[in-house]
Amino acid sequence: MEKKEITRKITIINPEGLHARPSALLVEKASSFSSSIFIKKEEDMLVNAKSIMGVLALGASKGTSLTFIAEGTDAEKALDELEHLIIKRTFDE
Amino acid sequence: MNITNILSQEAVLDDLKSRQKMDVIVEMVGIIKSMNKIQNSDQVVKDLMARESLGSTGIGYGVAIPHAKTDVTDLVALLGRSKLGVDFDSLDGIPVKLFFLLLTPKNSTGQHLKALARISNLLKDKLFRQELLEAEDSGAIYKIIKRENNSTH
Repeated sequence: MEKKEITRKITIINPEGLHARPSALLVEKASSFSSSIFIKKEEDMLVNAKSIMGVLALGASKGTSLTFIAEGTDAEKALDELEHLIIKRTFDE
Repeated sequence: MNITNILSQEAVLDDLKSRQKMDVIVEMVGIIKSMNKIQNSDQVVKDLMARESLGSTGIGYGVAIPHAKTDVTDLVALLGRSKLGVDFDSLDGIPVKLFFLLLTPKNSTGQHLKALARISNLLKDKLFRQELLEAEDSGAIYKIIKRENNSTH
C-alpha cells in the first residue's frame, strides 16, 4: 500500500502554550502512532513530533499556527487525535 | 532570546555532587541562593518539586529542565552538570547529566516559554550535548554555549 502524506494546520489555544507538560503529552501521543509525524512552524522550523526537545524548541505560544505533517498507515488517525488533544482537551490544563 | 543574557558564567556548575532528585534540586537552589538571586531557598525547592510531581522534567537524552514560577523578580537560569548522572525519573529512564534550571517570576508566561524553546533548541543537538559533557570545567562549558549561541541566532 502506498503511503500518503497528509498535512493539517492546528493552532495552539491553551493560554500557556507548548510548555514542558503539554509538549510531553503531545510527544507521548505522537509516539503512539507508527506514522512519521513532523511539525512545521512558519517556513523555517521543522521538528519531529516524537522528540520532546524538538517540540519544546518550537516555543509555540497561544495563537501559534503549526502545520502537522504525517505519513504512514495511521496518519489520519494520528492527526485526528493530536488535534483533539490540542483543541478539545487543551492538554487537560 | 540570547542564552548568555540569562545565564552567567557563575551559574554554570561543572560538577554537581548529588545523586538523587531532591538532593540535586537542593544543591542547585543553594547555588542560586549564594548568588543572592532568591530569598527563600526552601520555598523555591518546594515550587520546583511541586512541578516535578506533575511529571518529571527529565525530558530524556540525559537532560532535565527543572523549572518553576516562583518568587523572583527576573528570570534566573542555572546550568548544572553531573558527571555520574542523577536518577530523575526521566521519560526515557536515562540518568540525567545536564540540568538546565529555570526560575521565572509568577506573573510571566511568555518569557518562560521562550527560554525553554531556546534551551531545547540548543540541547537537541547531540554533538552539543556531548561537548558539554566532555568540557573540562565550567569556563569551557560557558565558552561552548556562547559559541553555539552566536552561531545559531
